Amino acid sequence: MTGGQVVATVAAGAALLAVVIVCLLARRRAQQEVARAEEHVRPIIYHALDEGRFDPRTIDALTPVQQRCLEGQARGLLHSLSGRDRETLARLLDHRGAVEAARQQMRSARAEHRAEAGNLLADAGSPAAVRDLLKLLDDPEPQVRWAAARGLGRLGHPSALSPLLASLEGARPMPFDVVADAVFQIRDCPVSLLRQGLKSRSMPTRAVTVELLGRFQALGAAEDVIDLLHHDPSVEVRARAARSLGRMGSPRALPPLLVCLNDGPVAVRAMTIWALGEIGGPEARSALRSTLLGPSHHVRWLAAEALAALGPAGFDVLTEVAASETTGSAAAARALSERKCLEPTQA
Amino acid sequence: MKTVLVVDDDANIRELITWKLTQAGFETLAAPDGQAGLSAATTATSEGRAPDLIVLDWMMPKMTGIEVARALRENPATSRIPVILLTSNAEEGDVEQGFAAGVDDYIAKPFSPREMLARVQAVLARCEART
Repeated sequence: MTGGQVVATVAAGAALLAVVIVCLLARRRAQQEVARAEEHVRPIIYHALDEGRFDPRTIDALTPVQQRCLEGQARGLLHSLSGRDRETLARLLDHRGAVEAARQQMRSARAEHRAEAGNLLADAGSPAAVRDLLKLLDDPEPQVRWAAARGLGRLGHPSALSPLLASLEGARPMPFDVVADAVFQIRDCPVSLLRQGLKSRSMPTRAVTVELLGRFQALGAAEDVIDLLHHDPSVEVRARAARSLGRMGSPRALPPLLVCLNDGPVAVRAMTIWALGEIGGPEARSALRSTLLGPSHHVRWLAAEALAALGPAGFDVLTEVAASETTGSAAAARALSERKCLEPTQA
Repeated sequence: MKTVLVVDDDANIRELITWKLTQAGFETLAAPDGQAGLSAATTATSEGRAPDLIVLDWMMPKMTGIEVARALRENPATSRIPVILLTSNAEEGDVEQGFAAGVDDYIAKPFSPREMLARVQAVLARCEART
């Protein structure tokens, strides 16, 4: 290598290094500017939350970087805050034009942008949000449909019940649990309307409806749920009916559950065992004890778990079986030891 | 002045709670995850300035709020520090799990900072009445 080449290489290296340093400095400066902007806007948001209002002139006077930080922080807090605080943040975001921008973003070609728009519209809870989210419920992309369903749940408007149940059907059906979770968030959910879903010809609708009646603890629907437990052609629906009865916790459900305990599909038996553990009482305890001594390893384990869920009365049974030399002793001992790990430490 | 340790991986929430408590006259410590929260609580306690209360998020990286609460209860030095759990998991079973881990109260997300402050004050008043 000649002397000129060496000088040229060193010069190129130095220039590259200088560019890298300048870039790093610029990046650091930008980060510092953002950090300063965040510090500046934080109290503006917190005071707005405290007072339930904000001065639009203060917001408009912010620099573009500060405005972006304000929007970012308001968005970040929106889903975690309730009531008046959420409304204040929503108004603040609306003032910044974020809600209208999200409505435009619903038409974005990118699915993640449409889903993000759905999330913001739901959190901001504008009057047109239900209508906007119902449109997204038909989106071709699952992530957008799920965001819309969850958003409708967060909005909690009863008018979303029928469209959410309908979304279980069609060419792009929604997963059961996404719909169930969304409907469960609807305040004042019309349980009478929900009960009609039990008679639907659609299996997913019956499965989700029966699940929800349990989660809402709709005791008035117990007879209908018992009917599905015994007669529905779908194992999925019958298993969810058993779980639903467990969630209702009514001793009235014991006799029909006991019928399913030792016969039929494993999924239904498993949920029946769990339900007995939720309902409790001497009859359930005795049935679970018998199941704990049964031939199936899996079923014995489930019965031991259900007995552990019963608390001291269940522990007594488990202790007795664990000490015996029976098929159920291993499952009983394991359930007892696992339960001990979960016990709070005495101070 | 009472000290409250705020443990939450969401910086927005952590800052808001810290600000609200400071406004109400509390001294605050903050940690961004469960492990750091447990470490902050034990370190402060060993230095003789144990927090008077801990506000603990449930879902956090490294250690969940439930795991932190259990660890606090297992350590005699920190076992008496009252804990309020901040949780999105407000179903009955989850709440039971929280109380079984030794938390004193819980706040369901979405929450109101004013309610959070009221609960902090109520739990502290209960603890003072007990001692």
